[in-house]
Amino acid sequence: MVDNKFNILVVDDEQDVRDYLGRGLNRRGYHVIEASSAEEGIEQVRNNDVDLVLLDVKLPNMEGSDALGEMRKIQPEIEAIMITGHGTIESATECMKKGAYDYVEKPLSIEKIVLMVEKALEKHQLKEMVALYEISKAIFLTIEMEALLEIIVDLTMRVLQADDTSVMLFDEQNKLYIAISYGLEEKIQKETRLAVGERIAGWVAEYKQSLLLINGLKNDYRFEGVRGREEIKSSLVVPLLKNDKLLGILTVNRMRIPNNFNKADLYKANIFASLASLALDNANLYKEFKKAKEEVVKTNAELLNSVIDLRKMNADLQNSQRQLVQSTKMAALGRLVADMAHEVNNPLMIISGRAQLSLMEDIRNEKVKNNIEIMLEESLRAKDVMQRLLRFSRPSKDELSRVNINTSIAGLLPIIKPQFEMSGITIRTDFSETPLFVLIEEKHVQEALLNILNNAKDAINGKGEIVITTRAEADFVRIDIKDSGCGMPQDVMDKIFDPFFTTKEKGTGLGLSVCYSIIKDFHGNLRFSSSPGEGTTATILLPLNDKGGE
Amino acid sequence: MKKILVVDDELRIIKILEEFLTIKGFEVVTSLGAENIDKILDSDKTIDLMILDMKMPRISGMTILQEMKDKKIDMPVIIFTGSVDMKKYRNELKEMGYDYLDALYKPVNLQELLDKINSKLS
Repeated sequence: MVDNKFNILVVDDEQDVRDYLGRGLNRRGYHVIEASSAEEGIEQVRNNDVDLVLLDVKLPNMEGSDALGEMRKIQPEIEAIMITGHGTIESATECMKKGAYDYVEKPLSIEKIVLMVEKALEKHQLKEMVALYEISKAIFLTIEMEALLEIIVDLTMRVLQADDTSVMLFDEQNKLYIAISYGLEEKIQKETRLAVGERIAGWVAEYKQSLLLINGLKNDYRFEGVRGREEIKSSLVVPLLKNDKLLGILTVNRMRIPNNFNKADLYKANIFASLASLALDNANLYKEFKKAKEEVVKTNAELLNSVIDLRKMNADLQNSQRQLVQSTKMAALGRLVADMAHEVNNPLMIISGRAQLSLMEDIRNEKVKNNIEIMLEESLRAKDVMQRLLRFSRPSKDELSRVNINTSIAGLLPIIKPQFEMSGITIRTDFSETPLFVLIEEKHVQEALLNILNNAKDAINGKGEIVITTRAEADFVRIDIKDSGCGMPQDVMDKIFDPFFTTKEKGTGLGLSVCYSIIKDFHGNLRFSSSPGEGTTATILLPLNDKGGE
Repeated sequence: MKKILVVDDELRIIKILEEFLTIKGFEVVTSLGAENIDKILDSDKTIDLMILDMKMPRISGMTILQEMKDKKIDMPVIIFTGSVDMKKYRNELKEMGYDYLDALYKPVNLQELLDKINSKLS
């Protein structure tokens, strides 16, 4: 026998009619309930889940249209086919206005009625499908889990006309928790944790079957000993399944709404749950995708950071290597110069001494005199170079004094400004507001500063600007001398501290190497940053001497 | 006539100073290297001033100064050096009664040397 699962209520005061319809419909797989009066029919609707009613328009105590009205109050979506006798077509059309699907006239033909019943039920289903379709659209437009849960609860409340609704999902311990609810106490929502098999939701989770519970849990052997909430009159508890995988449980309760849930509601809830499950699954996938994406982004960022760290380490390493090379060069040079100075200065003494003695003679030949004078001058120039070179082998031994570098630089400016301004170069200072004390030999550091400033001047072709900035930076005083000059390419930068390296036509190539060793003498550092066309910045760091106070 | 002792390990430098100082009216005694200074100082007590090279083979100028201090020979000295940084010996020189600022560095302007001698002898 085909099980059509639909419940059909036949309400007629004539036993023959009831028998005829009951047999005919039963044979076709429908479940038939009979009632002989309107009152009895209404009672049956109240107690059973009725999909369709075959209703006599003329009943002893009540018009069919009124009876249908009462039934609809209990089950709003009930379909009705009116049975009319001779001369009662008007009553039947009255019922049609009230929402009956159709009417049949006596004498009845079971074939005709079955066709009509099928169509009515089809329409009934279609109506629900349309509603579900609308729901599914709303659900699938949402992919964020939180928003989706809200929509599911909201639609459940509306579609199934519930007093409270909740969606339970699994937590990390595989326990059911209430992910969202409407109408539940906050305490219950927060604290509820159910294992699979535990209580009603747990039962549904275990057996993956939906439940329709009416009048609580009493009389239900499955839930013996389980205490339900007394106020609940009927419930739908539906598993949220995706390909047999349990995602969660949807629970819908009625307490104040007078009618209990019926099988149609359960059917609706099942379809709704399967749509919700799909959407939840999507949302889960999306959540995982998002998490994975975030992780990729995070890993990417970490990777990038380590690359930056590595680059920085590499730069630091290169820098210290450069400094090591530089100080090694300087030390080697210092030793060389010390040895050389003796060997060179003695011959220079002899040359210049002889020249001086010659010039004390009465020299008639001007040419000879001139030659000797040039020899003397040049030997003195050679001496000057030697003196500067000796700077490398002679660490400073003068007394150190505590100097405010701002004052020290300010003291230099009047000496150089006129000369610089004549060349079209302005010097701007941006000194720190607080004094910056360093322990140095002032005239040596001033010599270095002058040297750097002169280089800056030479780098500017035509008009330009030099900015001197002083700041405290950690334990150091930082002096930046920035020019708007031609800048230097990297290959020049690599060599600027090399003694005798020069880009100037008349330069000894000792200026910056001397500056370097002066600044190093006072435990500072000198470095340059530059690129062609963008000017050069010399940065001097000297240990901040903040002891001794003001 | 003031008598000046010139000590250097380079003969040609000694010769230059000898010629110059003679022209300027000094009596000049010379020592090539430091080995004979003892003898000279012991035998000649009339020397007024010494011009002393620092870097010489075997015996350095600083050793000579120390010995003179030990022997309590008190005589103005002009240190004459090509490469030695006298700042290094600032404290030692001070103890011996000399000033590192009195050092002259080769090659020297002879007039400057003369001025220094005159100021030491006045």
